[in-house]
Amino acid sequence: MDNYNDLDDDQKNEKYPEEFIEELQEEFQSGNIDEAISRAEEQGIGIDEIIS
Amino acid sequence: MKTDKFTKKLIGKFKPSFSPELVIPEWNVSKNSQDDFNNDEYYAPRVDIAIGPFNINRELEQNNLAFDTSMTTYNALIKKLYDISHLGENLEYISFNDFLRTLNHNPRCFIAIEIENTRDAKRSLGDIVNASVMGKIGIVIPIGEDKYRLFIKIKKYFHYLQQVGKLEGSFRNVLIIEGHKLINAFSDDI
Repeated sequence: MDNYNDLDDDQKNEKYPEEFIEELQEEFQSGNIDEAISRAEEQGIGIDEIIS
Repeated sequence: MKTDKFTKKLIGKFKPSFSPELVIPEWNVSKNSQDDFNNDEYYAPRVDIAIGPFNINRELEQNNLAFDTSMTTYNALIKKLYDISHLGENLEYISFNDFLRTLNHNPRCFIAIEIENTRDAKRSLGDIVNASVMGKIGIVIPIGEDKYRLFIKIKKYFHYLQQVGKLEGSFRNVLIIEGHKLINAFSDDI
């Protein structure tokens, strides 16, 4: 079984997409907003999905 | 922590509603000034996003007519912004009509927007002041619920200062809107 925190973003998005979105949402809400947007964009995830 | 990408995304959302030339990121309020406001003599902030029309010359009467036209043009949008703000949540007990009566009579732009992603209360205080005095309507966008609650406390602080006679106004033309609500509002048809 994978340890989620040991995976890179590609693997997180592929294997645990819901958890990955939640992680990006938390990063955005914590104030690290440009980093959260960049990581989302690299995975083809829209900003609307990570700010709600 | 930077907000450039978020600012760019937000401006992208504004495009269907406002002409591109009216939406300026990182707007230096004294740039191209044709009135007495200059950054040699005065502190001149940069507003994260300014939406025109603008009032940077001595034609206040004429510029106020342009603001009045914008108020009519964007009435539905302004009501929507009110509804999704802290005022729409009834956290300051100001009706929409009362809000419209509190707007800035000598603004430098139509809407001044400040984005805040830190928990720094003094910065947040400055965000409210700048958005209020520079925009006919000021909008502050806290990123994260904890920052939203901080802004509500600061607004209440200003209101208290006004009530006890320490401050003449309490920046009532400012709407506090959470980032996701603003993005979602502009994702819908307005």
